[in-house]
Formats: sequence, structure tokens, C-alpha cells
Amino acid sequence: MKKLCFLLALGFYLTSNAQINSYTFGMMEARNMGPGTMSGRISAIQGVNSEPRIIYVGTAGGGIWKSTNAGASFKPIFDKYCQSIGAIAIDQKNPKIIYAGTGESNMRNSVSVGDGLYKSTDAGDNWTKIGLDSSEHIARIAIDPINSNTIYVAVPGPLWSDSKNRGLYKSTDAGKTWEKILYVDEKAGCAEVVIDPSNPNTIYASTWECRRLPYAFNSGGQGSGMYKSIDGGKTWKELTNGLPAKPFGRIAFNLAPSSPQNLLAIVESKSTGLYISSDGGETWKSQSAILNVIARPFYFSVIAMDPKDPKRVYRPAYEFSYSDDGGYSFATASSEGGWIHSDMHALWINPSNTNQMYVGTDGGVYMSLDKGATWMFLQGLPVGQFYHVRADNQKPYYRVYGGLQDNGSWVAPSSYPGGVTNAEWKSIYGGDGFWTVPDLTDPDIAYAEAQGGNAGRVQLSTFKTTDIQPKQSEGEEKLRWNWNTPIVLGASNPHNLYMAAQYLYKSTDQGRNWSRISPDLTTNDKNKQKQEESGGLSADNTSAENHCTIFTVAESPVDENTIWVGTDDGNIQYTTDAGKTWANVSANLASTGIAAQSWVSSIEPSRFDKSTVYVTVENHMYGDMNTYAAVSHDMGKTWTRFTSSDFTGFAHKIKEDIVNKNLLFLGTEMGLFASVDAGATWFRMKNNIPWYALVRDIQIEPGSNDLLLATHGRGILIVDNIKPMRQLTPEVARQDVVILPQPDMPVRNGILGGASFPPQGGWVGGNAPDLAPIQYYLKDRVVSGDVKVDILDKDGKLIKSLPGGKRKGLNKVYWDMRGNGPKTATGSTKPDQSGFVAPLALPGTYSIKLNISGKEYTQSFNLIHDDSNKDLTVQAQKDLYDNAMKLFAAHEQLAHIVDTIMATQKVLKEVAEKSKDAKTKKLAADYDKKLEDLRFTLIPTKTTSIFADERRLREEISETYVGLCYKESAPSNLELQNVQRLQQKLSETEKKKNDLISEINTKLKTKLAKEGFNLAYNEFKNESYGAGSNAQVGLLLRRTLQLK
Amino acid sequence: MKLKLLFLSAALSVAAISYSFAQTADEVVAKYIQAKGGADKIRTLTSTIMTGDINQGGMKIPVTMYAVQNKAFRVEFTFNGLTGYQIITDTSGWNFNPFAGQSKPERMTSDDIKSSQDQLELQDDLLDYAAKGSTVEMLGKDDVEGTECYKLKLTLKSAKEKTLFISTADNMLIKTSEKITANGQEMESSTFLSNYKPVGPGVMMAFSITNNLQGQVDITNIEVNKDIDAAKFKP
Repeated sequence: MKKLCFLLALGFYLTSNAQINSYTFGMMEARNMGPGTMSGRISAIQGVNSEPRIIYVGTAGGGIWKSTNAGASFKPIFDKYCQSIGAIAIDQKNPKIIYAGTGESNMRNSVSVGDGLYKSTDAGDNWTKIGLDSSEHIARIAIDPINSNTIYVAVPGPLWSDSKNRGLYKSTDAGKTWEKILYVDEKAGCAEVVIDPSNPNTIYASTWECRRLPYAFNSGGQGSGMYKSIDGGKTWKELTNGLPAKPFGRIAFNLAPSSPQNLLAIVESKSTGLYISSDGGETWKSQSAILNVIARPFYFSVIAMDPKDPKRVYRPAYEFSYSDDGGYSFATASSEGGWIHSDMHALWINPSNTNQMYVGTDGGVYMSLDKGATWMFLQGLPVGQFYHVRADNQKPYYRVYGGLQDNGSWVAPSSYPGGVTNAEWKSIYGGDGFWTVPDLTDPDIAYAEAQGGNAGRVQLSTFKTTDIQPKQSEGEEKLRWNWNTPIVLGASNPHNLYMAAQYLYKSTDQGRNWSRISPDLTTNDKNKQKQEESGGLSADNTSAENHCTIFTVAESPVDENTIWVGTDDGNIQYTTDAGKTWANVSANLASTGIAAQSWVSSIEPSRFDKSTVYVTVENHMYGDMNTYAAVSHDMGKTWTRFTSSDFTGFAHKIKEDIVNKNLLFLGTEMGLFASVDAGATWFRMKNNIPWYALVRDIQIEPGSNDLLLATHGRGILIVDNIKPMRQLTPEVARQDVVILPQPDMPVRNGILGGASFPPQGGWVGGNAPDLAPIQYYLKDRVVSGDVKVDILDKDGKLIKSLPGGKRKGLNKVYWDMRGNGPKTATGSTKPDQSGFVAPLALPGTYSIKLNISGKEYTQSFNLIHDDSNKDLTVQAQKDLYDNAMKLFAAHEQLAHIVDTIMATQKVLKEVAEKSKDAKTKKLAADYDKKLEDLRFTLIPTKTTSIFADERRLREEISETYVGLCYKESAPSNLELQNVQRLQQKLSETEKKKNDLISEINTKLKTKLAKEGFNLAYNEFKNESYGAGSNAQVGLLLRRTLQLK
Repeated sequence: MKLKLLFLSAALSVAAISYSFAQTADEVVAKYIQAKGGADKIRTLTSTIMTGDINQGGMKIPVTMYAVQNKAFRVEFTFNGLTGYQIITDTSGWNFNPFAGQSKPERMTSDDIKSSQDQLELQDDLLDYAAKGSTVEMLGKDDVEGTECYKLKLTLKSAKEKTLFISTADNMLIKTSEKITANGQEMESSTFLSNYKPVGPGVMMAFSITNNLQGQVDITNIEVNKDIDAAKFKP
């Protein structure tokens, strides 16, 4: 008995090893929809001085992207790490060495956090974290140009809390160890560091006191200052001579690399201004400057001088300004050639061609070839920062809607012929974009907003908009709209439209009229409502700090009278009578150990149980970065927290699957997590999703079962069809091999046509697969055996054999519903495509036979007639097939005729050469010629270029055959005539060949037999030699050769 | 039954111990060479002829690869009665692709030849790598589509770099990746190896080779140490 228990325990241990994680779903991978047309905030740009076509771009929430072609295309190179980048530095003496500081330092309300400093020694292929783990924000990395083992890192440090982990750090061993060399206090960090290239012991640094609260922002304090060291940071002197009176805010400064005594500084103070020094910062002079130069110092921290010309100054800020006289006067870049996005945070000037430069904005990267006067947009960076995503119910493919940080509201089809390119994305509303919500009852209407609740109803056919924001009424307090105001459609009744300030509003007529259906649902704490005083030294209140507002609204999917509301100041309230009465259950959640003030980031009422509700809350604005998610099964009376050692990042969104109630998704500032056991255990989703993606919103589109992710830095990600996540339960995944249920497949080429021309650059978001894949699960990778997927018809006849994937977890194999092509005539100088083309199979029952290292698994499935195609009846489909198969047979018959001719010619040539009888020789040569004349009518024998058109019987058959194979309507009268004509022509050819051969036999066989020649040949057999099937062969072969 | 159990738990504990120690690059290489059949057997390979098919979605194109250690490599494929090929030798390289409209062999650029010459190593890049002037760096462990692997960076004498992924479970090479330059653009070329079978004296070779850029090749037969006509390596 004891033994048995042990056995069982061991068995359990072994089987429970088949733990569900992202690899379980192997080939189920996300595609990045972009857009590239509207990109996201760029925080760092660095190029390789010796090879300036190589550019690294750091982004606010999309990791690092590398271009090796000066920006024509980019690839992400930091997908396994924190996605918020503060600074990048390249060791120009060995440009394979790259440092990346995580945690952007453009300290706006929505800025993310980092987790330290990383290093690559192979140009970005591999990265190692090398310290400063608690820095949260890194503003600059400066490498000593002479001794590149010496590195300085400016760390502003945490934005939302006090911290000792701020200041200027130095390493003298290429990042192995770090020493803090400039530190003010727990409130002020280091925002900038610059090394004098002519004397690398001379260092300049600025410190910055800066703090945010959820409802206020302060840039400035006694901790901010300008410093200089002449001994590599051992001792520091504060620079004050000529600078304004403290307190300072942020100081942006730089020196002229070609004349490093010349410095420029933009000093935020009570009278923010531009200051110039020509003596290495010892003395400064105030200089008048245009508004753009001194605008929003906390947000625009770059000023730069041309590497060669000390008089040429650049100030990328709200706009792009430049000076030719050392900063005494500034001009602003032209919009000739295209608008350049406002709000700039990064600049890289090519030192070997200083006309060329790259600027990073809130909407992507631009390149200039004329010193910043005009700019070209680089369209291949899909790093947009979405807040929310929604889908409509269009067919055959739904459209995706979302709002972007600083970049308005956008709509795109989820699939499009040739893939979703930048051109398919349409901008439908301005400002910062947040909720962009299609009206599911009216395909021409969407609702969108700009910051602070400025919402409109958009007519999608014209993009005309009408203001729909609810207005303050008699006896009401001033309306407090969140930066990211909720606009929500009823999950139970899509005619219900909700918006919320501190009150909840409902409209049943598309926002034309509103009813207020709640009292103030927030804490209405007046201490958190002093936004007009926000900003610090420079006033800065753009509604980003609005507080005590409703942030989340969710109508129960099973009862339109039950509505849940969450506020930014900690309240969770619900009504079950459409707003007549409200219950506040936030204290119950707080009692699980979550701070009461925490921002309620999402509420998800269950669609399977009216009393069940999921929430995420987050408290990062008080310095608490933990992941908080919970469920209640009793309308919020009691809560169970979800926990996992995998969790990272504060929580934005929890989503319950629409079919399997045990399947949950959780999006945080650092990753997407999933649970297949109702939240008991969680795993990080890595399925082509950046591991630490900023996942702000999650949707599941019911028609396609696609998972939509609004990321704040990688645009919209779509995981096409997540059904496998419902099917591969822990029990199922314990088996070694599982074929997933195969849906009925309509017989067709696909859903979409192809694009006529490839996209001319820019990002391509791909498409959903046009065909349902055959999907199977492997518990382990197949290393030592082979995997084959055979498709059999109902009689067990093999139709097609496909190579199978071998990876652990879910594998996908695509069958194009065709068998193998015919054997076509060879011996030509020109290939023929028919060998790779077969007609679409007919509707009926088929089966999948999966062969894994000799072990077989089978499952049957149906091909069905495509009822959506009104141009193709069941009969017409059969006619297509039958006629195509007649020409299939014709091809094989022709192949045999040609083979026979050529085999005979081979002998005749030999005879003509070797026979001892002159008459025989002559006869053989004559017949060889006659056969060649016949062959000449059957296949191209002259062409040496693929661009030449040599049309013979084989080509005639192919033309009609291939047409029929791809046609999705009844064969035409002329096609049917052609089939008959070609068959006729073929029988005539067969006869000609037979006549000739029998003549040869009659005249020559006996003679030849005497001389030992053999004229025997095979009779034609009507069976395929079994070539493959795919018209792509030419392409494949070309690739095979050229890329080798 | 008891014996089986003992064996199982022993296997489990051995696994546990071996995972708890960091592996050096040389240890991983040694285990890999052993798993492949051992250095002595691998060193006996002087030539290979591999026959099989390029298989893309069931479309098969017959392909044959000839290799003479450190001397020459030829891949040829046949379709519709036409044959294309590529030849790489220690001094030259040729392409002939009638399917791309070529009517005669075309000389490869010297850069292309140089970057392809690692194909002349038919024994194993990792065998006696130091003597060959290569270096190997341990990059730790990584997942290859969910399978745990040792990750090694191999730098050949030519300065070409390859990243090798060796399964921690059975010490077999399951993936290699390298940067290739095609038409001036850097691209990541990843090759997955599977369906290992013993060949010749007992050297494990992958009969299924899948490349992200070039598709899948299924090998049906490998002959070793056969004389190969030198004409095969001339255009």
C-alpha cells in the first residue's frame, strides 16, 4: 500500500510536470499591428560614429529598435526586458558595446519605470543587467571617449517616492562596479551629465528635484543645481555665477564638442531662461530666447551643438529650433516636406556628416539631411502608446479602434489584402487619444475623446465629429474629468453609452442626451483637487493631474442594470438598479492589504456569474509598484487576491475569457499574464509579445476569438484565435500528443485577395491566417524522430503529405486544401508551374493523420462548400474540379509522350553516331529530327530567359489548368471548350507520336536489335509521379540560391 | 518494479544535481561531441553526400548536397527537368539558378564566398574548435521554443559568429543562428535541427533541417567517405 502511494505520488509529480505556460501555446503568436504611420514617444537615439547607417532607438514603452540602414527599417532588440528606455550609449571605440538605461526620464504623468542598467557586447543581440536595479529612471549614460571603461550614469531616480538610489554614478571597469559620485538628497537626483571630450576628467552634471503625486506635479526645489568636476567626479563645484536665483527645476545643458569651453543651459527657475557660458561654466550670461527654447523644461531636456561647428545649436523641444550664432537667435524648422511631430526628446547628429541628424518625438523618429531645416518621417517604428483597444463587428474582418498617447484616435482593419500597412490606419480624432469605441449597433459611428473628457461622436464615413461631452448642471460641482476619461458601451445592452466625471452619465441615443445616474462616486477629497497649482516652478496642468474622478465603468454582461464603477482615488461602487442606489465596496478590497487610495484601473464583471467580479488596482503613484488583482464572488463583499511569483509591474487590466471561465488575462506595466485555472496560477505570455510589454487594455473579439492588446509602446498586438488556450487545459496537456478539433473549412483560396504591389516601406502588421491551421500539441519537442501530417480522403487515399512542426506545445500546419500537382513534361529549357498546382479539393470528409516518429494519431474533419461565395454553386465547384482534373491527366499524358520521344531520341542519337550501317545512321538521324519537330510543338525548347514567352502545348494546357485550379466561379464556356480542344489536340499528338514510333519500330527495330540497341519504352500509365504542389517554387529556389 | 523506480529516482536526482552547477562552455562542448558520437568517430568523416528534398508545405524539390571536408561543397536541386546548383570551394563560389532566369553559372562575390565557406566544415564546428582558431563563449541558458538549451557563442577564425543552442536534456544541437548579409541587409538566419540518426561510423546527424529563410530540407540518405568526382565542384 505504501508502495502504491509512493508510486501514485511519483506519477502525479511526473504528470503534473506538464505545466501550462506560454510555450504550451507554441506557435500561437502575436502580430504587431502597428501603426508605423503614427509612432510613439522616443526617448533616446544613438548612432555608430564609424558606421552611421547603424542607429539604435530607445522608446518610452517599446524597448530598443535597431536599424542597419539609416532608418529604412527597424528591428526590436530588447524584447525580453523592461520596455521603458531612458538612455542609450555606444562605446564608439568598440561599437559592439552598448549600454541601455531603463526607465524613461521624460517625467510626464504616464511615464513608465525602469529596472536598471543593461549592457550588450554584441551590438544588441544579447543583454545582461549590470546594476542600478532600483534607479527606476535613467536620464543619461556618458562614456569617457578616451578610456571607455569609464562610464557615468545620470539617475534622476524614483518619480513617485523618496529614494537614496539617485544621483550620478560612475564605473571605471566598464560597468562591473558602480560608485555614487554626486548625491544631493532623497528628493533630488541627477538629470544630465556631459563629459568634456578634450579633457575627460572635466564633467558637468545637473541635479533635479522633481516629484509627482497622482493629483500634482512639482518640478523644482533647492536640490536642483548645476555642477562641475575637474577630477573625474571626485570633487564637485556648484556653478552659480550668472545663473538665476535658486530654486531651479530641470536644467538642460550641453557643450560644443569642437569648443568645449562653450556651454549652453536652459535653466528652469522662477524666470526660466537660456544661459551661455564661454569659460567652461565658470560664468554665465542670460540670453533672451524664443518660447520654444524655454518651453516645458521638465519635458524637453535636450540641447545640442553641432559636433564640428560650435555656433550651430539645436533645441528640439515643442518644435525644432536651431541657431547659427551660438544661441543668440533661433529659427524653427519648416514643415516643407511634411509636418514634424511636436514634443522632442532625443537627437543624434552624424558626426561625419553633420547635415544628417535624427530627432525623436512623441510620435516617432524623423531624419533630416539639411541640418534640421526639413525632416522626413521614418515609417517603420510601430511603438505607438495605446491606452485602450476596442473592436467592431465588421465582416469578414473586424476593425480595431484605439487611442494613442499624444497621437489621437485611430481605426484600422484587422486584416487587409497584402497585410495591414500604415496606409490602412485612419486618424479619426485629435489630441491625446484614449477610449475609441465603435458603436456596435451602428457601423458608421464611433466615440472618441481627447484628454480631459473632450469627447465626440465620429461619423466614420466622413470623419465628421459632434461634441458629446456631458455638461455641468445646476447644483453640481465643476465636473472633474480624468485625463483618460471612460467612454464605455454596455456589455449587456450596446445601446447604453456611458461617460463619467465624478458622476456617471448614461445615454441611450448615441450621446445626444445624457442622464446623470449617480452622485459623486469619488472620495471628493479637496486636498487632491488643487491642479491649478501644479507644475512646480513652471505651471503645468494639462488635465493630466485631474484627480478624484471615475476611471473605470463596466456594465455587467448579464444584467444591464448592474453597473460597476472604479475611481482613481480608491472607490469601487456598484448599482443593481441602473443607478438609483449605489454600494461602495472598496473597504472590503482594502482589507486584503491594498492601500485604500489605490487607483482602480479595471473592473471586469463576469459573464458567467452575476455576483463575480474581477478588479485590478494600482498604487504606483504613491511609489508602490506591486501587482494587485483580485476576484470577488459575492458582489465585492469578500475578495481573493491573485498572486504569482511571475507578476511584475503595476496592474492595468484584467479580462475574463468569453468562453472558458477559468481563462483569465492580466495586463500590467511589465507584461501580459494568463491563468488557465481561474487565477490559481499564472504565467507570463511570451508568444511574440515583449515579455515586459506595457499592457494597458485587453479585449477578446468574439467572432474571431482574437486576443487584442493595447500596449503603451508597441501599438496594438493581436494574438489570432486563442481557442487553443481554452482547449489545452492542464488535463489535456498531460498527454504526449493531442490533435485539436479541426473546424469545418470552406473550400476556397482564402478570404482576402492579394495586394497588387508590395508596400513601399513602413510597418506591415500582417494578417490573420486565411486558412484554418491544423493544430496539434506536443508535450515535448521532437528531436530524434520525424513529424508528418498526412491528409487522407474519406477512402483513406493520401491527398497530401505535409512536414509537421516539432516544437514543444502548439504546432500549426497549413493545408491549402489541394493535393499534389501533376507530373508535367520535362526536357524544356523553361520551367512550368503546373507541377505545383492542383485543384481545390471537393467538399467532404477528410482526415488528418499525424505521424510522430512512427506513432500515428488521426482525426477527421470536413471541407464544406463556401456558402459566402454567391458566385460558386456546389455543381460549379464540381465542374471546376472535374475539368481541372481532365487537364491534370492531360499534363501527365503529355509528360509521358515527351518522355517517350526523348527516350527514343536518345537511342536514335546514339545509333546515328555509332551504327556501322550508313543507311541506318541516316534513318536514325531523320527520325530523330522528326521526333524533335514533334517535341518542338509540345514544350519550349529554345527559351533561355524567364522573360521570354514560348508557348507550346504544355503552356496551353497550363494556362487553362492553372486558371481552373484557382477559379472561384463556374468554368466559362471558353474554358470548357478549351478543355475539350486540348484533350483533342493531345490525342492527336499521342497518335502522331505512336505513328512515328511504330514507323521507327517497323523500319529500324530489327536492324537495331542486331546491333544491340534497345528501343523499348514504357507504356503511359495514368498515375501521378508525385510532384509537390506550390506555385511558389520559383521563388523558393531563387531564395535558396541567393541567400546561401 | 522496484528496480525501475530506483532507476527513475536516481535519474531524477542526477538531473537535479547536474542542473545546480553552472556549466562551462568546454563542458557543454564535450558533452555535445560525446552525444554526437564522440570525437574519434567524427574525425573519420572526410566527405558526405546527402540526398533529400526541399520541402515547403508539402512541395518537394529533390536536393543533393556534396561536401568534402575543408575543400568543397555543392548543393544541387532539380525540378521540371532543370537543375540548379551552388558551389563553394576553398577558393571560389558559383551559383546557377535556371529558375531565376540564369542561363549560365554566375560567380559569387568574394564576400558571399567568404561568408559561405564555413559550410566546408562537415565534421563539426565545435570539434577541436580551439585548434581551428575558433572561440566559444558560454551565454548561459535560453529557451528554444520552450526547450531549455545551453546557449553558446561560437566565433570562427574568419570572425564569423554563430549562436548555438544545445538541449540540456540530451546535449544535442537543436538550433543555430547567425547574422547573414543579403543584398546589403543584415538578417538573422536561424536553423533548426532535428530527426537525428546515426550515420557512417555512428555519428549523429540531423535529417531534418529547417531554416527561417530557406525552408525545410528533409534528408533521406547520407553517404559518408565516398569518392566525389572533382567535376562536381566546377561550374
